[in-house]
Amino acid sequence: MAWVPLTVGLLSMASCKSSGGSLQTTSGFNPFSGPVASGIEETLSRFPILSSVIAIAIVVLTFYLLSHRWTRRHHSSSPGGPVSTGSLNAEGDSSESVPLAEDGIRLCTRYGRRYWFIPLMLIVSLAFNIAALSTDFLTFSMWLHDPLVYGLPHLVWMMWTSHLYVIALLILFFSIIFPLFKLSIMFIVWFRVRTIHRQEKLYHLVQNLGKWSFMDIFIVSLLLAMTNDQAAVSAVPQVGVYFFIAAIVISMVTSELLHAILRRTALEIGSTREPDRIERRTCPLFTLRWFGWFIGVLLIGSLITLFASIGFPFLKINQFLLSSNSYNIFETISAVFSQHQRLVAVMLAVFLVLFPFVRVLSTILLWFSVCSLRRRLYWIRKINIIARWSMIDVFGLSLVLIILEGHDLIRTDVKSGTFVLVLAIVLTVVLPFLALQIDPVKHLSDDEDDA
Amino acid sequence: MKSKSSAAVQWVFLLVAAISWIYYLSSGQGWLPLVIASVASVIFGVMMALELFD
Repeated sequence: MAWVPLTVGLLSMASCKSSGGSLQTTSGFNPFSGPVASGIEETLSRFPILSSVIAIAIVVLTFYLLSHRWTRRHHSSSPGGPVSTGSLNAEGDSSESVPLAEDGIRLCTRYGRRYWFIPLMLIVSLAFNIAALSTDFLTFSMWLHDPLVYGLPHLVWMMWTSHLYVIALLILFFSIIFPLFKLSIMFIVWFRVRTIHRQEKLYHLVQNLGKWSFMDIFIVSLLLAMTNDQAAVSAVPQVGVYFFIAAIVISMVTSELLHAILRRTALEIGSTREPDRIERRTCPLFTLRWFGWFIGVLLIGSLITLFASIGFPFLKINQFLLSSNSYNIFETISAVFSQHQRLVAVMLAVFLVLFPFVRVLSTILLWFSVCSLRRRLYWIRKINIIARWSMIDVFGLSLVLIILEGHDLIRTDVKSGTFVLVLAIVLTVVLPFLALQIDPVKHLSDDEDDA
Repeated sequence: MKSKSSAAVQWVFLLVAAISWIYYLSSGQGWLPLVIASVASVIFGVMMALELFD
């Protein structure tokens, strides 16, 4: 089944390549020839976004039709016999003929009608991903130098030739290979794999790594912040950045939906179950005694370091002709905002400030509260979802890469805030994870996911 | 157990991916090596994952 997204990926890449005028900066490929084709190319090159949208729409429509055809075909050949074409039941499922309580049924057969939008979201994410790979990512201008226009693949090559091997390989893996791999795996889990055990195993393989694809977005954000208010240097994000953000966010949302669907399936077929004495009230402070209090105090410490990491500057520019500005997380967000990149700034605020705070705060509240197992399990699941969207650790890696290997672009000095940020990352990522792992409820239930 | 031909195809994809990536990173030109490298890498990864959880 892997060939399906990949084949259309190739087709789409070809169409995006031919339609985007800005692509000429990174490739000389031009499949058009003749006056009519030149006219089309000229028209499309005037409207690169429009042409990208047209390419995406074609891909989306094709795959949507294909996926529906696939779903219908497998409905009719499912082990439980054909799915009724009559009216849906109260939950919106066409479950009259498909034995939902049995294992060995594909997700597309089981939930094809209720969650018809899952394949669509995967296809849209794939289209945005290909568009992001095909269009320009960032324009970097320096005084007395020609502006440099980077696409994502070109960025990898540039880093590689500048001997920045770690950045090149990380961007290559997390921004080019992994998003396509993740989408392929989710396609396979939805359309091909039958048993819940195998569906869960394959899904868990890609579940927690999705947010690391944001690494190059954070590198771009740091470059945007550092070039703000500078006369000699400037950076302007191109449309590829927005395509990439859209691709990763849609992929992550689909992943969350798939997670919920798999859990629901596991409960329905009985491969997992709620713990006994679900209404029993517990509190880790009483169950774990001194160790519970120790973890509780550390959790409060992690909240304090998170506050500190937002205010302490972690980086200072130290280069001739550039203002010696220093940056912390808050100033980075506000600098990106002043560059009129509001979407990127909002994204930074949500993923670097809001979600980490909510994650730590809710873990603390859960840790110090006395509540029933049912409620505790419910909140552990919610906190795990927030953890998958909390990206301060990804930002930390981007910062380390900029500090270690970014001096060829802009020379910087490390400030004390870097160490506070590293401490905050360790405490805010490791501690809530540890707290949820050692929570006594965890041992009573075997249906939990790992954040 | 997977057939020998399936395993051979898998390793061919890895080989193609490696050669294409090396070519792309050394020359930095052309979209074709990039597409071949990406597609081969992903197919290899998917085949590997499927075999891993078979």
